[in-house]
Amino acid sequence: MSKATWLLSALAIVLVAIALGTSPAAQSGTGTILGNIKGADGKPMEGVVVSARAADKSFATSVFTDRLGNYSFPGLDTGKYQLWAQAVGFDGARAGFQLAGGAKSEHNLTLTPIVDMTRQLTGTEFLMSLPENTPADVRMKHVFVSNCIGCHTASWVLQNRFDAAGWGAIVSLMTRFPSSGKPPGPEVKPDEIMNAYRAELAIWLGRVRGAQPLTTFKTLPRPTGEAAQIVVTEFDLPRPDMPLMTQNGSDWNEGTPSRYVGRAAHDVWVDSKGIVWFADDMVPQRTLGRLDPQTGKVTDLVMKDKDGKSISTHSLAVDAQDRVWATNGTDGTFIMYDQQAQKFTNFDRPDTEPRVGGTMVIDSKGNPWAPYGDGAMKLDAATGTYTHYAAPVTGKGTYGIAIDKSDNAWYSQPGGDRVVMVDAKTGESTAVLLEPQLIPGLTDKDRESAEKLKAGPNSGYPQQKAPRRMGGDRDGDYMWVAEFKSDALLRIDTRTREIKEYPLPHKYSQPYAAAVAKDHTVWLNCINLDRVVKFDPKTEKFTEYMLPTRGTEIRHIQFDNRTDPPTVWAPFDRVNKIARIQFRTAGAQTGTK
Amino acid sequence: MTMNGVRKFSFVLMGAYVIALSASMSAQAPPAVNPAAAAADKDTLKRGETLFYQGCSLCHLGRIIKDDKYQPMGPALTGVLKDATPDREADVRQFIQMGTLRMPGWKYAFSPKEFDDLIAYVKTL
Repeated sequence: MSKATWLLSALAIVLVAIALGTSPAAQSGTGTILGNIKGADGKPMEGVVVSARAADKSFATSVFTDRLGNYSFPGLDTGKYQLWAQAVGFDGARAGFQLAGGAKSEHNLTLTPIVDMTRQLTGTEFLMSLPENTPADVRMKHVFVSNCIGCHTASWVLQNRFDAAGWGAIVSLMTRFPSSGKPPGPEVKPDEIMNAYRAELAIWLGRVRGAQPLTTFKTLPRPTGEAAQIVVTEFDLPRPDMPLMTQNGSDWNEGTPSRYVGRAAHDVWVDSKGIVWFADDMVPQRTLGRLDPQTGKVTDLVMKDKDGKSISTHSLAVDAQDRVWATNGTDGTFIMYDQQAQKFTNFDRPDTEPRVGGTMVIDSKGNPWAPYGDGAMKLDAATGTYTHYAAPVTGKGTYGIAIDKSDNAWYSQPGGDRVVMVDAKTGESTAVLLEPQLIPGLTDKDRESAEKLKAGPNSGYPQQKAPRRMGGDRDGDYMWVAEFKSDALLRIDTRTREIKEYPLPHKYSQPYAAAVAKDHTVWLNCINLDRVVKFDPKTEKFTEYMLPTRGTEIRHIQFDNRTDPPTVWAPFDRVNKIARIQFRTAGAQTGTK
Repeated sequence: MTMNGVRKFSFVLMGAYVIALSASMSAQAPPAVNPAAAAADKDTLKRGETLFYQGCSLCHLGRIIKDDKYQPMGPALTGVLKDATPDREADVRQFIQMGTLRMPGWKYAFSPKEFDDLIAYVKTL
C-alpha cells in the first residue's frame, strides 16, 4: 500500500469513528452511572450520598452507597453530567463526564476526612454538638428549640458566630419578625415569650457560638441497609421573576443556604395522574405550582386578588375529582382550581366567619377543613357555606389539621400542648391534653411562662411539646401527631383517646408534620434533620432516610399511593426544590457493578 | 504537476501560512488573562455571593413577598465599595467585623479568606 493510500485509509477510519461516537444511538437512550466510594484509608464507605445532574436537566438524582461502598444509579438520560459524593466529616469528591446511551460509566471516588466540618452540619448535628455538660446547658437548648427553629432550621442560625451583643441584636429583631417574612414596622410589638428569653438566649449563644469555634462534632450515623436503598430525585422549582441561586444546599461545604429566593413550596399533593401540586406563599406570579415529574416542567398558575396581585397559598389538597383546593392566605378563604375547566374559584367568606388558617385537609364528603385562630372551620363544598367550631380553650393558637376514619376533624393547639377533636356528627369539640416535657434545670421562670405568657408553634417555654401537624389513618384507628418541640411521634387512639408517645431516634430532630401512607406507615418530616423518617406501627420501629440537600426545611410530606410501596414527596421550602423518594426493590438494590 | 513544481508550490504555501500566522498574531487582542487566575476570580465571587446571601441579605436586601416588594431594613449596599481606595476597603472590612448596636460583628463568623471573598463580591454591588 502506498503512503498516500495509507494516509487516506487512516483518515477514513478516523472519520468513521467520529461518526459512530456522535451517532443518534449514542446520544439518545439511557446510560448507567456506577462506582465505588472509599475513604482515604482505602476502606469502603457505606451510606455516602452520590448525586448526578445533567447540564440540560432541571433535577438531580441521588443514590447511596451500600456496605461495600458500591453505588449505581437507575438508567439516566444521556448527557453531560456532574457527579458528586459527600458525607459529613469529609471533603466531597466530584467528576464530570459525558454519559452515552447504553454505556456503563464507572466513577470510583475517594473521600478525604476534614477537621472542621462545621458548615456541613445539619441543625440536629449542631444542637447535638453544643455543650450539654450541665442541666442549665440542656435547658438552654430547649429554650433555643422552643423559640428559634419554628421558622428555620437550627443550622441556619448556628452556622454563625457572634458575641453576645451581636446575638442580642439578632434575637431582638426576631422577637418582632413575623413568620410571613414581611419586615416589621415600628408598630410591631415583640413576641412576649420570646422576649422573656431574649437576654438568656443572647448570652448563651454568645458563649456556645461566639469566640470559640466548635471543636467536638457529634454527627448522625450514615444510612445503612434498607435506609440506603432509595433513589432521591430533587426537582428545581424555577421562579418566574428571578433565576434560582446556585447555592441551593447541594454542596454541604457551603453550609445552609440563604432562602432569599426560596420559601417555595410549602405543601405538596399528588393527584390521581401523578402530577405534583404545590402551594406557595412567597414567589410572585404564582398561586399554585404544577410539577410534571416525567419532564421536570413546572407550570405556574395565578389567581389574582381584588388588587390584581397573585393570591398566596400555604396548604393544599386534591379531592377525589382531582380538583385542587388551597388555603387563600390573602383573603382568608378557600380556593379551588378545577383542572378540567382550568378555572379558579374563590369561596367568599362572610365577616361573621373567621379567616381560614394555614393548613387544610379534605374529609370523605369532599369538604375542606382548616384551623383558624381559635378552632377549626369547614367549608361545605356544595353550598359554599363556612361553619366554625371554637376550641374548648382559646388563646392557645392552632396549627395542623387532619381527618380520622370516622370523618372527625382533629387539630393541634401548640401553645397549650393540646389536640382537639371536632365530632363529625355533633360538632362538639373536646381536647386531648399532653403533659409537659421533663427538662433538667427547669426554673420557676419557665413554669410561670407556661402559665402566664402566650406560647405558640414558633415561640414558647422550654418544657413545651408543641403538637404541630398531623395525619389521620383513614383506614385505621389512630391519629398521628408530630410533637415539634419534644422530638416525639404522638399516637392517639381515635376510639378511646388513649395516647402513646414514641421518641424519635435523634433528639433535636424537631418533627414538623406527620402523614399516613396507604400502607399505614407514618412519615415525619423534621425541620432540623435533613432526613425524612418512617414509622412502622406494626414493629414500632423508625427508619431515617437521608436527603441530599442541606437546609431542606420540609414543612409537609405526602405520597403517591399508586405505587407499592408508596412514593414519598417532600417540598424543600428553603431551597425551591421538591424531592421524590423511591424505594429500590430487592432486584434493583446495589451491591454489584 | 512535476515534483519540482510540487516542491515550489509547497514552499509558496508554507510562506503564505507563515505570513498569515504572523498577521493573525499581531491582530489579536493583548494576551489573554491566565485562565487559572480568571477561574479563581469567578470562584471568589461565587463564594462571596454565597456568604453575602447567607449573612447580609436579611437586612441589606429588600424582601419580595408575592407581588409586593419591601425596602431593606438596613442600608442598601449598592456602590458601597465602588472604586474604593485600600483605606476605604479596610474601613468597611473593619466595620463588618466589629458591628454596631443593630448589626452583629462578623469577626468570629468569617475567616480572613472568607472576608476577602465577601469584600470581592460587595465591590460588584
